[in-house]
Amino acid sequence: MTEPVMSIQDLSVRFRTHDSVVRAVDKVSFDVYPGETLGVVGESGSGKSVTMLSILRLLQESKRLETSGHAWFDGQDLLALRQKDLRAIRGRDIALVPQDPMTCLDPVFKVGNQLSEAIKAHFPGSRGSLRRKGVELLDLVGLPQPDRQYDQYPHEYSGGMRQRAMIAMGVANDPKLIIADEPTTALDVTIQAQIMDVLREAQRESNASLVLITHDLGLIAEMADRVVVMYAGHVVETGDVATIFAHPRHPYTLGLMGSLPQTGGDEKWLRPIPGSPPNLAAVPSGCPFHPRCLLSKGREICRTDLPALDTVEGSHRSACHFKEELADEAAQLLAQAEQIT
Amino acid sequence: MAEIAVPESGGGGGDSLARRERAQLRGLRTLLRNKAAVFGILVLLLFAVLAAAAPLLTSYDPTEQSLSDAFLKPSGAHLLGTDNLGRDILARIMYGGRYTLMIGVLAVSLATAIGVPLGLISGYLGGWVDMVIQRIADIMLAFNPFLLALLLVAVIGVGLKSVIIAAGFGVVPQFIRLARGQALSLREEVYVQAADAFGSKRMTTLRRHILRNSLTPIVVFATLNIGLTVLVAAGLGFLGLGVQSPTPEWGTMLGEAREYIFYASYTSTFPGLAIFLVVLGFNLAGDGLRDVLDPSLRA
Amino acid sequence: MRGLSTYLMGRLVAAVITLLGVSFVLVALIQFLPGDPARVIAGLRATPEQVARIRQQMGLDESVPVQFWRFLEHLFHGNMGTSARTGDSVVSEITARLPFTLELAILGTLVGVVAGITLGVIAATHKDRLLDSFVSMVGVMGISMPVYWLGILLIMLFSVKLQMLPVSGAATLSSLVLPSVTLGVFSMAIIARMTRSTMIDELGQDYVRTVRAKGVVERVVVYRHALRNAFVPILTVIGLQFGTLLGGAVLTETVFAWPGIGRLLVDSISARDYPMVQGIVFVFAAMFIVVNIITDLLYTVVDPRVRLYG
Ligand SMILES: Nc1ncnc2c1ncn2[C@@H]1O[C@H](COP(=O)(O)OP(=O)(O)OP(=O)(O)O)[C@@H](O)[C@H]1O
Ligand code: SF4
Ligand SMILES: [Mg+2]
Repeated sequence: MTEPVMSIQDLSVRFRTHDSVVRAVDKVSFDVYPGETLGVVGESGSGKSVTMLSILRLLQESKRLETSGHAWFDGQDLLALRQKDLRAIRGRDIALVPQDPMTCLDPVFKVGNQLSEAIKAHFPGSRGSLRRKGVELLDLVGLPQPDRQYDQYPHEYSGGMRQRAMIAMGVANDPKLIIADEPTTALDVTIQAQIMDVLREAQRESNASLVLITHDLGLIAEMADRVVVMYAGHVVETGDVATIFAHPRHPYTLGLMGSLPQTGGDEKWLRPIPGSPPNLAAVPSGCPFHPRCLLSKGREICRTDLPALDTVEGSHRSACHFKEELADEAAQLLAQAEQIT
Repeated sequence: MAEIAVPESGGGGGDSLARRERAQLRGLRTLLRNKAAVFGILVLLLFAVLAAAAPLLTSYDPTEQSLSDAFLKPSGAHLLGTDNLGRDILARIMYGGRYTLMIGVLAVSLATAIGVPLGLISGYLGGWVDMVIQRIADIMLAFNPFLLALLLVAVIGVGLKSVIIAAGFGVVPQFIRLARGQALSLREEVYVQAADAFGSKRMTTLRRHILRNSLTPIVVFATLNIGLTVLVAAGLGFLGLGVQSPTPEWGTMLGEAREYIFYASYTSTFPGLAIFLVVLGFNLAGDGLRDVLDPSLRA
Repeated sequence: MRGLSTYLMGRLVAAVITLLGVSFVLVALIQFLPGDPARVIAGLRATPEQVARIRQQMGLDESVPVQFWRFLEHLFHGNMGTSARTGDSVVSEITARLPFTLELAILGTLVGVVAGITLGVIAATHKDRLLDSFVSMVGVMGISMPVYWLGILLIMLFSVKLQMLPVSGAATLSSLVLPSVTLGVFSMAIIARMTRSTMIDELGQDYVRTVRAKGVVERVVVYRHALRNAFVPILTVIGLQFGTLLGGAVLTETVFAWPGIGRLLVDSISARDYPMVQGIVFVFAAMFIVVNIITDLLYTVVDPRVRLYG
C-alpha cells in the first residue's frame, strides 16, 4: 500500500474542568491515504471534531487542555511542530472546512476579503490578483454572482452560500488534505446534495485527500472509500466502506446501521441504539460501549477489559471482544431481532 | 438520509438540600482560594476593627486641636504624624473609617431601596411604565454619579446626611438597569408564567419569584457599588462639599491637607491611602463574590 | 441606508428627550433649595429689593412648568441667565472656560482608551498567566483609585520630588500630561477590564478558529479579527464611562487648578450661584449625550450588521 498522507497515532485529548476530566479523545489511531475519502462517523459528542481540531492544534490552548500522541504529516509530527512551521501547513497543505458555517466567518469582514486572506497567508499577491483568484474560487463553488458576492458581508449570505464560501477557502491553496466537518448538517436536503458535489469536484480537481466527518451513513456510502467509526472518544471499527456496510463487526456500527432506514426494507431495521452516549467525564470501564451493548449480554470481560482494535481481515479492524460472534449474517440478524424485543 | 439520534444528556433535577449545601461549601472554598478576594475582605475587616475599636486603640481625640503639635512628622508618638491643627492623623483615620463605611453601606442601601423596585416594576410590567422609568434612568445617567451627587449637594446643602443621599442617588440608575434586566429575563422563565396562569396577583408574583431570584446578582452588584459611592462621597468631602470639618472624614481630610503637599506630604498620603484601600477592599470582595455567586455578571 | 437613518433618528429623538428631562430636573430642583431660593441666591447681605429683583429675574414667582418653558426659550436663544455671583452671563463664562475642559476630557479619554485597550488585549492573550494577573491587578487598582489622590501623588512625585512638570495651570503642553494621565486612569481600568473579557470571548469564537486554520499569523488573528469584533462592546463602555470621566474632570481640575468649567462648578456651588450651576451641569449632560451619539455612529463603522437594526 502507498504511504499515508497523514498518520494519527495514539492521539488523546483531555479537558480538565474544575471537578472532572473530559476524555474527549482516547488513544485514537488511523491513517489517511493520498486521494482517498475517509469517512468518520459516530454519534454527537463521540469526539470527531475534537480529533480533527487537535491535529491542527486549533483547540483553544489553556492549562486545561492536554493533548498527547502523534499526527504525522510529511514526515513531521504536527503536535510537536513549532508554531511558525505549523502555520505554514495550516490552510496550505491541510485545510479545514469547519462544522458550523453560520459562526465560522468573521461577521465584520467581507467574505471576499476573508477568502483572499486565506490565499495571502501563503501566497502574497497584489490586491487585484488576490481578488481575481477569490472571485474565481467563489465561481468554482457555484456562487451565482461571484463578483458581487465577493464584496458582501457574511450576514448577507444564506447558510448554503456560507458553506460554499468555506469550501472555497478550504480549497484555495490546493491542499493535500481537506478536513470537512459535517459540511452539510446545517443545510436543507437539496442544498446538501449540491454542496457535496462542490466538495467532490474540488477534491477531484486538486486530487486531495478528504476526511469527511458526518452523522450521515448514507453520505458515507455515497462518498467515502474507507470508514472510521468513533464511539466515546475511541475508534471502535475501521475498514473499507463496502466491507463495513456488508459485514460490520462491531455492535455499535451495527446499531448505527440499524438507525439507517432501508429503502423498502424491514421495519425492524429502523431501531436506533438504545440508551444515550456516555458522559465523557465518566467513561464506562472496560469497553465504553458495554452499558448499551446488546451483544455483551452482561459478560464480565466487557466491563473489565478495554478491547483492542484488532484485525478482522485485511485492513478491517474492530474493537470488540466478541467480534467473531458477528461473523455470519445469521448472527447479525439475530442481534437485530434482539434489539427489537 | 438518516441522522443518528442525538439524545439529550440527562440533567438530573437538583433539589436535595445536601446538594445545595455542597454547592455553598464549594462556593466558599472558591472564594477563599481567590487570594485577591481574601485580601479585600481582610482589608475591610481591618478598617472595620480600627473604626469600631478606635477609642481602645488610640488615646488621641480625633478633633482636638493642639496648634503647638501641628505638622509633626510620623514618629513613635504619632505613627502617621499630625495635621495642620496638630490632630493625630492615625486617630482621625480610625474614627473617620466609621463615616466612610457608614456612608458606603447606607448610600448603597438607599440606591438599592429606590433603584431595585423601580427596575423590577419596569422590567416586569413593561409598556409605558417601563418607558417612563427608563427615561428617568436615562436622565439620571446623563448626569453620572458624581455630577448628580454634586448637583444634589448644591441643592440640599452639605453635611453627613446630604452626602449619603447624594452618593446614593448617584448610583440609582445603575440599580434600575440591573433590576430591570433581571426582571426581563426572569419574566420569561416558565414558572413565572405558570404563576400568571394560576391567577395569583401580579405583584405577588413579582415579589415572590422575581425578587427572590434576583437577590444574588443584586447583592453582588451592591457590593461592587459600595466602592463607587465611597469614592463619590470622599470626592465631595475633598471639594469641601461633603461631611464638614472637624469631622474626620477622609475625603475632607485630604481636601484640607492638599494645601500642604509641599511641606507635609504625609498629611495627604495617609487619608488618600485609606480611601484607596477601603474602595479596593470592596471591589476585590465584590469581584470575588461575583465569581462565586453569579459569574454571569462578569464584565 | 434607510435603516441607518431611522436608527439614528431614534437615537437623536431619545437624546433630545433626555436633554429636556435634564433641563426639567435643573429647573425643578430650585424648588428644593431650602428657604427662599431668591434669598439664597442673592446672598445674606442682599436688600429685600435685590431679592425681589432676583426672584423676578429668574421667574421664581412663576409655576415650575412656566419656568421650564422660560428656560427652554432662553436656551434656544443661547441664554442661560446671569451668574448670581459675578453678574456675568452664564453662557459667556462657560464658553470662555469650556475649551480647557474639552481639552482635558479628550486627552483623558485618549489615555484611557489607548492604555485600556492595550492592557486588555495583553491580558486576554496571556489568559491565566502572569501578565493577565498583573493587568487584573492594575485594573482593580485603577477603579479603586480616588482621582483626587492620584493627582496629588503624581504632583508630589513629578513636580516636587523630580521637579519635572509644572504643578498646575494650563499654560504649556507639558502641564497637560499629569492631569490627562490622572483623569485617564479610571477609564483605562474600566476599558481594560471590558476589553479583556470581550477579547477572551472573541478569541474563543468559531470564526477565530477559521482564521487560525488559514495559517494567518497570530498578530492578525488578534488585532485584525478579534479586536475589531470586540470593539462594539468596548465602544459602549467608552461612551458610558465618559460620564464618569466628566465627573472625574471636576475633581482633576480642582487638584491641578485647571481653569475649566469643572472648577467653576465647584466654586459656583460653594457660592450658591445656582444659575451658573444649572448652566454647567446642563453642558456636562449635553457633552455626555453627544459622546454617546458619536459612539453609536461609530458602531455602524465598526460593525456592518448594525445597519440592519434600523
Ligand atoms: N473545550 C471543551 N471543554 C470540555 N469538553 C469539551 C470541550 N470541547 C469539546 N468537549 C467535549 O468533547 C466531546 C467530544 O466533542 P466533539 O465536538 O468532538 O464531538 P463530535 O463527535 O464532533 O460531535 P458532533 O457530531 O455533535 O459535532 C464532547 O463530549 C464535548 O462535550
Ligand atoms: S466488547 Fe463487549 S461491550 Fe464492547 S462491543 Fe464488544 S460485546 Fe459489546
Ligand atoms: Mg463535531
